[in-house]
Amino acid sequence: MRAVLRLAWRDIRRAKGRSALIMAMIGLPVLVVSALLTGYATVLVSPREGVETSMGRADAIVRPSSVHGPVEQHPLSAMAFHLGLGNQPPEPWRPEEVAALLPPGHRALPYQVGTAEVRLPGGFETLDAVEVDLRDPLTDGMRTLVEGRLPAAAGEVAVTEAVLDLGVRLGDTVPVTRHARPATVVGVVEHPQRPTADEIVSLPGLLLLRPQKGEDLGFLVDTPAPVTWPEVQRLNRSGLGVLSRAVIMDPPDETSRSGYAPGYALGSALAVFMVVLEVVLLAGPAFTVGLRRRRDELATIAAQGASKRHLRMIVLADGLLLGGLGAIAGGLLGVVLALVGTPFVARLGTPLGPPEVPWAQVLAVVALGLVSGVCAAIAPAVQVGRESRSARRKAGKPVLGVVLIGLGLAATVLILQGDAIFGFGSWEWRALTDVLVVAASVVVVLGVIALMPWLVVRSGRAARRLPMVLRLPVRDASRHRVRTASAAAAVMAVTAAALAFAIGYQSNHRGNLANYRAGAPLGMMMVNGQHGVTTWERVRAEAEARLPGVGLVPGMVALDAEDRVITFSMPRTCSAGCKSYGWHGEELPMGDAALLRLFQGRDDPAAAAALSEGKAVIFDSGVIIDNGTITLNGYYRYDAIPDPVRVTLPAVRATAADPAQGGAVLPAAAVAAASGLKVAEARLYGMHVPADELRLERDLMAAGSADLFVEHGYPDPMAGQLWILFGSSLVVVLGGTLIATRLAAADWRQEQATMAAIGAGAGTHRGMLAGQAGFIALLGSVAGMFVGGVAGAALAISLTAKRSGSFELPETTTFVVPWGFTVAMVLGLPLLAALIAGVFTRRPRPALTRRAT
Amino acid sequence: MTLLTLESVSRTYGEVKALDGVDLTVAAGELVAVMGPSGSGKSTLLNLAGGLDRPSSGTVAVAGEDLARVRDLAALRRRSVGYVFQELNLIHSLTAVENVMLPRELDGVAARQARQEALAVLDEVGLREQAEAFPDELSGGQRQRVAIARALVGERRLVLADEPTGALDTATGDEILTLLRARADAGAAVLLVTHEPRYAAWADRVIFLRDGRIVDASLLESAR
Amino acid sequence: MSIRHGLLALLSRGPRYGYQLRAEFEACTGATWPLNIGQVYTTLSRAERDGLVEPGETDEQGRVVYRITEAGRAEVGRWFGTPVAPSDRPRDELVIKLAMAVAAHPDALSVIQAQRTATMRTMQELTRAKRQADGDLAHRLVLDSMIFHAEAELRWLDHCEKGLS
Repeated sequence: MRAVLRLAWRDIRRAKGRSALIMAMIGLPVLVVSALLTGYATVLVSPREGVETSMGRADAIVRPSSVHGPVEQHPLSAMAFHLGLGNQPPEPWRPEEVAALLPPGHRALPYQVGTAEVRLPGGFETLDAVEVDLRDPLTDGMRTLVEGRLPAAAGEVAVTEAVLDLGVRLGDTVPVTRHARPATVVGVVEHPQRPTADEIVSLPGLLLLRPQKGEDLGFLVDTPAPVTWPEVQRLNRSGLGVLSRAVIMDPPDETSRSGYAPGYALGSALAVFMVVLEVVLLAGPAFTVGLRRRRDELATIAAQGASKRHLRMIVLADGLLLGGLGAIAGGLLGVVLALVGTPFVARLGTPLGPPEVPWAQVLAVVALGLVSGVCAAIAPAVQVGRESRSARRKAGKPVLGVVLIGLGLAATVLILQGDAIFGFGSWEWRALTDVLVVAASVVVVLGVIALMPWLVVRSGRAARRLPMVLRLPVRDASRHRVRTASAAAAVMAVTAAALAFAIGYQSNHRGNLANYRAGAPLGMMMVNGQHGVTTWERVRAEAEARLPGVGLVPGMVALDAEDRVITFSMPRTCSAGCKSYGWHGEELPMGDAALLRLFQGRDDPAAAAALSEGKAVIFDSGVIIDNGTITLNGYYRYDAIPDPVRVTLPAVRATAADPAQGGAVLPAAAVAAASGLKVAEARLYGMHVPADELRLERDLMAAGSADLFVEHGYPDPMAGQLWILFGSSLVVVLGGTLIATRLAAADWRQEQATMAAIGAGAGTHRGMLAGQAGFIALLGSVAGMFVGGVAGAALAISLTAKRSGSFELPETTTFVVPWGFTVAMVLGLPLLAALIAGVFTRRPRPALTRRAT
Repeated sequence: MTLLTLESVSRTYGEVKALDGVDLTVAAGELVAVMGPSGSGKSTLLNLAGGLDRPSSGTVAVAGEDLARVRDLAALRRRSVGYVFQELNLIHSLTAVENVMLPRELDGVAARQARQEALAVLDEVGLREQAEAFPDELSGGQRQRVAIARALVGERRLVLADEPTGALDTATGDEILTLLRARADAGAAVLLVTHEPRYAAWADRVIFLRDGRIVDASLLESAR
Repeated sequence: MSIRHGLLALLSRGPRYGYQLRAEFEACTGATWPLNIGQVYTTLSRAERDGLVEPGETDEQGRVVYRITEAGRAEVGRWFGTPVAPSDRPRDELVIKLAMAVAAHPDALSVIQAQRTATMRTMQELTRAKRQADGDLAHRLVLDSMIFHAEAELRWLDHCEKGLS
């Protein structure tokens, strides 16, 4: 065995270029994944690592939930969820109630987190806020004092460094919260794990408005004995959420419970499998070429008495060494890269934990790289055992290929009809369908890979009709079955994957788009005064000053006796599939004919007349108008008072400015009359997209507590997706094709001499290699197109079903084929590959006859 | 009509003088053999004759044209000169007829016409039946015959053969020589490099090379 | 000796006139071994004296037909059955000449080269003759033997040359 390894090592040193290439092909994926894993582990502050920062010396953080009844929580979080329906009014807790439930002999320190608005020299900023007495020894370790002193009295705060960068100095007094309470900065503190956080700390009662939604009271609790998981569950039953130090240090087994787990695991496994597959397909031909060069050496070894098994082992040892070296190098480099790089990345704002290397995971990745190397060497190793000429051997395993394709397709159909088997409404099944569809497509891909050699041979035969310039490359490529089929298969897999995801997600996105109902026409801005009339005049003045020439139309809100803002939203009943609303669909504009005109984008006398008669003008075609009236729910917009107000109004339909627009316009007077509330101006609307939305919002906030919303339409996270898919496919397709072409050039060298002797010009050599590159890429991309098309359709169907909750396909599914992307991938990439191969071939060495005598 | 003329041709590679002042002519209808041990410059001579290499001094002329003035030597090899090597003559991924068509197609001739010409030449060398076979499927002798056919397709008259019988047994070698002789009799000019006297004996003239120089020449006089 | 045996072999095919034997002999050996008629008759009368042939009728022109005897047939059989020993072959003038040249001549190399050219020419002639002789196998085989001989000579000459340089 040692001799075998020695031989392999010597051969590696001899063929440095090829060996380096293979090691790079195996090592790069390993490097990337190791770096990501290490970076993630380092950046991730596990609950255990963060325990001191989150609770200092306390044994637990206790948070009462919104009810006094049983709640459920994740062991590693203090957020507890009520198990019943979500619409009950919150039941505030009193500190004595909490103390009664905690074990005797405990000490509770009030502790709350949230956000607070602070008025800084540059404008209003929203900062993270913590209310706790940092002088108490129970909080040791939560923050470190860097400068000044800790807050000791009401009205004193400490801030972090980042806040100082915003223009605050030690000793300044800043207004905090909407009520502009004065706060004096007495000290600077540091968050041990998030040095760039912008945070403000005070004693309880200053920063946070109470009641915030769900975060009423909170306590740091010191108990005589550690709070165990059964103890936490007991407290849960009474309505308290508890994050216990003991549970963090020793979590119960159910922490990995997650509805996403099986799907996530399968998805990751598939991704890993595909990466390994690609590496094997790309590296395999390189091993074959090396094999051919060593044929004489191997023959000599065979003559010395080595059996076929020995020869096979030599080739596998090649794969083992190259794979091992590449993977180990990749893994080490990745880890080092991550450890060195994360502090820089952390500056961007992510938390930073202690440098941590997830050795088990990194080792697993390195092992995978090694396995890829060995797998890539298997096909050539098997070949070396078989001495027969490759010419007449059956090309690949076409039968297996067809079988696999059939299985994959059948499985896809089965999965999409799976609701019949698993029961419609099973949420876990629906969450899994897209991953399962991908898995079935992987089976189809494997089938096409098995079929590829056969396809390659067939194309060779079909090349008879082609002119010589094309015939020659295709024939030569099909003669060297292994490297051509390998590279074409690699291209096929990547093309299929890219197309499938592009089609699937674009289709889904289009479907989402179709479902989206904007509350306002595209490009409308809304200024919302948060305090009713009190500061509205200033806000309005500010807006008009900042936006000269923009036709701003005022809108109304309803106010209760205490001048708290109440707004109205669309009823929840929908006739055909509930559409989703953008954020502002929750508030219906209230105003006059000028407002109506703005929302309709035109003059509609009938609608204007209806509005002035006190009828609501409804744009959303999905809403049921019952007997000519409609019932609207009104909610407190800025305060957590649960009881909704109900108002019934006569209603008419009209069309809005945009086809995707829903919502309605309400008549202010009629609403006031029907609800008994008063109405006042607190809104401004205009068809204008501000150049700097953030700046404007800050100015408005400074003027008097208002926010800004602009209707941009359905957010398109997909814009970059196609580019990413194209980019990564480009790398793999070009890389794989060019590797195969390089091997082709090496194989062709001899015949190039013949070509020169019979009078081929210099261009023939370039044309030959360009032709091969193009052929390989085209064969792969066309095959990938078929697979990707089918997979993409299936993915679109399953994603739509997931969204819409039903498998009534395919009529309800939108299919979008990004044609530009498809053409670029299927035709453009092969052309590019051919071009690059043609441009970058080295001029053939001057061809002389074989013996120079 | 003289198809190949070498006048005082020398070729030096660095320190080594591969050819030294060689004079040689081959006329249409002639089979000229060049003999010599390895290192005598035989293959260099052949490379120079076909324009695969340029002489350090002296002139090489094919069909009257001085090669030094020819810009497109590749075209020369497509149209005027045909090479036959000891082995690895054929492109493995093309059939026999496609191999023979190759020089014509490289010259821009349409595939159909090239195929007709190729089939005709294959007929002359007796391999019409094997037109669609791949080189792997042919015997050594058959492969050489295809190579000869390829060297002759089109208007080509000058065949440069470098040990064409080297990899063949005696009987097959005789076949090849018979074919070359027949082509010479039909009007081609054949320059044959060999180290086997029995094959050189087929020639009208046998030239002996030693260390890059011609040492003697045996001319078969007397009318045919 | 071989002429006698050659004629006997030809007679074993059937009775022949002397001039016929001569023609057949030359045809068989491809005119590479010309005989004059006198040699033929001399050989025949010696053979007759030894009892290997016997004369037959005389035609109107005075020519005699010869017939092979049983003893003659036996002799032919014996001749065919006995391989030619090295000592029976004629001495090679070339070998002697070359040996002398190497020992005594100042420029042995040129002797070799001159001989090589001549032998080569012979070979060329033989090859051409062979091409033109579609005739019977015997003829071609004789030619082949001479070709092989010439080839061997050439090889030996190359060898000598290498030895000298």
